[in-house]
Amino acid sequence: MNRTSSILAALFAALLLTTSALVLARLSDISSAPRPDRPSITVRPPADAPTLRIGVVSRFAPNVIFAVYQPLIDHLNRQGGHHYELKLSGSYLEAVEDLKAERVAASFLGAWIYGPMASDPDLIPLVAPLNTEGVPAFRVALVTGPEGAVTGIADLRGRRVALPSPQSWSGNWLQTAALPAHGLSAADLDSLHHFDHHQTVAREVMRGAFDAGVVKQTVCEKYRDQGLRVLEWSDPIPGPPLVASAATPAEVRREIRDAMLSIRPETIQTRAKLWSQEFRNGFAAVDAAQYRRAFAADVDREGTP
Amino acid sequence: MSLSSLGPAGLRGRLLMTVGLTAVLVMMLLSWGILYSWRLSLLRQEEGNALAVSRAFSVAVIDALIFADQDLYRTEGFLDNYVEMFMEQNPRLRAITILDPSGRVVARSWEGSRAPVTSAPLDTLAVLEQPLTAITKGAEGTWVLETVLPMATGERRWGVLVLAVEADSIRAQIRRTFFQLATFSAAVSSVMLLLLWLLLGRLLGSLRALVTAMDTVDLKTAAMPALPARRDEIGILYKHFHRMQSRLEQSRDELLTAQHQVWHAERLAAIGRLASSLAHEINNPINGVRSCIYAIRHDLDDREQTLEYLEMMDEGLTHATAVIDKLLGFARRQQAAPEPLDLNEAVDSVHRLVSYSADRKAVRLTTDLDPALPLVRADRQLMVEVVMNLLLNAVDAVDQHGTVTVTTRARNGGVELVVADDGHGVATEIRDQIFDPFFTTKRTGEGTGLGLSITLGIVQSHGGRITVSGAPGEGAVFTVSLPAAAGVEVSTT
Repeated sequence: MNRTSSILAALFAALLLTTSALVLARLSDISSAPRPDRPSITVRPPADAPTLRIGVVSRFAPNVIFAVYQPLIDHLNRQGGHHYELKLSGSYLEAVEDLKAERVAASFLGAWIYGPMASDPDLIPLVAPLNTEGVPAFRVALVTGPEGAVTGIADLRGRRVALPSPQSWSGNWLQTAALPAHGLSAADLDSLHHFDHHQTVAREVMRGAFDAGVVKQTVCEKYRDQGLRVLEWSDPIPGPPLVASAATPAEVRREIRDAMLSIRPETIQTRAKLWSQEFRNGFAAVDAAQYRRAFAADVDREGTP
Repeated sequence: MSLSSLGPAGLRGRLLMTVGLTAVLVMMLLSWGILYSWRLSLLRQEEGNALAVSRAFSVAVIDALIFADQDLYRTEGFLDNYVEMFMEQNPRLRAITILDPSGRVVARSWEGSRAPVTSAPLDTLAVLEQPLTAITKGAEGTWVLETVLPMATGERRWGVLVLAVEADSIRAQIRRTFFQLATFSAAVSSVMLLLLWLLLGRLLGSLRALVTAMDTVDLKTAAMPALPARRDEIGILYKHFHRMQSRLEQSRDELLTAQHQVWHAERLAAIGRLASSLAHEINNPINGVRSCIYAIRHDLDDREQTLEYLEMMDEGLTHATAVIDKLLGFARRQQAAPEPLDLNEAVDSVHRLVSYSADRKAVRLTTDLDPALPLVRADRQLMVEVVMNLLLNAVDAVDQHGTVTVTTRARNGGVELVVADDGHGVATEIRDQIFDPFFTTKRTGEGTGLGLSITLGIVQSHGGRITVSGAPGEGAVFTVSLPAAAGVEVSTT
């Protein structure tokens, strides 16, 4: 190798080493400017308006409760002249007490809770959510798993049955209406177990821990693809109402009702992800008479708030 | 110049410098490109992981903040416990800071007591509406990946969660991968260059073999060392070279044939030049025979006279036969074959033939032959032709009663044949042309112009040389120098 080629080789090696050092330095500097992860979330600052509270029973984790109800509150804040916030209640009893004590302007109550109190003039139902058929009604179903042997309500004798919360209509429909209609009672079942959530009931039935269960319509639809089979539907009852206190000023009640009635699937389309399945179809106005009729037999129910 | 002496200017050097180094460069650039892409992907993945961890932790934090908002629990101890537990469970976490919507610190890890790595004012972080990630170098020289996650449900803000994750391990991983890739690239490049070097060496070795074969081709026989059989382009080159070699042999054979034909023709021409004197030599005895026949017929009964005449007739015919034998011996076409030869013997046989012509012209033809003359290795017939051409030219060049002398002598380890005449000599201006083919000073029909040209060719093919000297008007001296027989390789081409 002569001198020229030696020089060329040395130059090439030097160039390679220098470039490698620069590349290493560049690779080692991993600093980065602050980088947004996703499109901006529009956050409306608190309105400079009187704050009113809307009650909701905290049967779930606060995160979940807010994920379901906060979009409704945001909608209210955009529509009305007041600033609304959620108020969690530990139980339905506490929720009703908050209403009567005027700690909340209105409260979301279950139909099973409000039904027996529908004649109370201090509690004024404003709206109830629409189901997928556009009716402010609510149905539950007797379901079984993919391998379930139960064929219907009449076949429940000696079976294990899972039910939702005893503080809901879903958790009581079977014992109070369905079984008696077939000449059965809870005593004819092998066992009866209440779970806090409809989803829990559906999963327990699907995995075969129970022969049958009762869940609400939205849960039936959610798990149908996974093998949950509907055996019988209940008659519809009015949906869970948003109930205002009679002490809540009329214009506030009207503001709340009008805001809720203005919710249409098309208006919330762009925010569909933020809305719970329960409220995506909008709301309809309801009155106490509907609940009195539906729950006439339960007016004197023991233990009702 | 040999192939190996070319160095970097040769094929191997140039290919190594261009192809090899270009390949190395391309591979390095490719490696770096892949490394950059992988590094970017790794950093994005780490940022995503940090954000996922932030979001997972934010669920519990939001619950705690909601509880606080609803006056259900006291937040401070609650969140501090969360932060402490989460830090313990995630060793890569360096700091956690939780701000409320107004930018007030609600909870933070012990390490989080210092300012966030982003160095942004807390109140500006509190109003962020989208998650952020950033990687920065801290004051201690350590690298930190920080996420800023606004916590909100719908439009309800709960605050901001700031997580700092150590990023030194990512940086170390990137640097480690760089060195691994660099080592790998260097190893692959070295192997590639080595393979290229060996491949080129093999290729050039084949070319070198071909060059050696070309250099050692025997021009006498066109024979060449055998080249190995190959199936690549070099093999094709070898085949074509062999074909060229075959054509060369064929051309050489054809040339030899033509050369021999020319020599033979020139020999016949020489016979033509001898014809009149030879005819005279043959006619004289024939006429004598005829006279004897006439005398015998005239007196058939004279037995003694008849016997005498028959004796004379026999002598005459013997003489004629001898002349014809000499002529035939000169004209006979023989296979050229170098052999140890006594040049004096060749001079003798030519002298006997040419002497008839010399006698007719009254030219004095003398010889001065060295009895101790060494042998030469030569083809006899070709040497006879050399001597014949030179003697006939000399006899032609002298006038009547002129003198031609043929001398042989040993000189400088070789043999010299000198043909000298006292004729007109060779003019200086034509001395460079007299050996050219078809150059003649004779009249048309008296010479072919090929004699001296052929003579020169024969002498040179025997490793000798021929010179001409003598002043114009004082005769010419042609001197043929030939190597002695020992160790002499005679060429017939």
